[in-house]
Amino acid sequence: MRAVISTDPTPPLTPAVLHILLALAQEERHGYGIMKQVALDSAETVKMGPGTLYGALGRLTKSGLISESESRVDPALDDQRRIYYRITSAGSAVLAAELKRYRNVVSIGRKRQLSALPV
Amino acid sequence: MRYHQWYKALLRLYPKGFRDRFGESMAQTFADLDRERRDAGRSPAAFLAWMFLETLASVALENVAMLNVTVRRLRKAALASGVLLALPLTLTLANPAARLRGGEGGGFDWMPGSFVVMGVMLFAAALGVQIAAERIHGPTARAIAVLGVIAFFALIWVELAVDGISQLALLMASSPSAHLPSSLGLEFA
Repeated sequence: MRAVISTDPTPPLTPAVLHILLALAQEERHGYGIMKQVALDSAETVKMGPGTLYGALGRLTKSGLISESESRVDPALDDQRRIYYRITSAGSAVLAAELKRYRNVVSIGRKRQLSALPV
Repeated sequence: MRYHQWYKALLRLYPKGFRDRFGESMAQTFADLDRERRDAGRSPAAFLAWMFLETLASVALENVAMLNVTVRRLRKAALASGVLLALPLTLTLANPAARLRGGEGGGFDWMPGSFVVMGVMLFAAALGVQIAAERIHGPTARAIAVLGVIAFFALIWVELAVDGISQLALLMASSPSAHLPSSLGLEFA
């Protein structure tokens, strides 16, 4: 059987990756700050522990979608230095492509009046 | 608190590269989440169960990912050594006088031991080149490291094939003022 190779340059993102990119879209954040923002953005539906978060941060950094910013102190928490992460231009492009995909899906749903269907 | 130490102990199960990079941040995040839990007046049981299970699952995933990288690296090194060994094997098999073919020797004539030694050397060199290329980021430093691995491989080969390095060292020790090119010419002619 022949393997089907995706030619999509930005395949759909996992919920964790999508929410991390969203959390970093407007400002640099450290790990705990990302977690808090993801919980807020998803109304607590996407819950990430440190394992999931830092595994995803490692993979996103490796693929060039985010990068480490310099360490600095978060006065709201404590005096420990924290590593901040920021989205790269490649990350912003991937996020924009993903949001466009979502908009297309929503648009199809609206056209077919699927919101009127019972859930 | 004692369970903070337990969590730090759990982080030791991650592959070293991951632990060095994220271990401290993870412990810090764990402490932040624990403080948040205490401020909210929640009991530690559910929090700790979630934290430890989630981190344990991530430990397994990262170790599998690390294992996959290692297997891929070993497979590439084995393939490169096999391809490179095909050349001396072809030359040996094409030589009617080769001892491997029951001949009397002479010409291009490698014995099974030579293939094994060269195979091990090529495998180690291919692995070294891959690791250098993956881990060293600057293009100049990477090129120097890769060339260093290749040069080291060549030195060992010269030494094993014709005692080249030992002879050169002996020559230089016995006659420091000896003219190097002519000495080399005599030894390797």
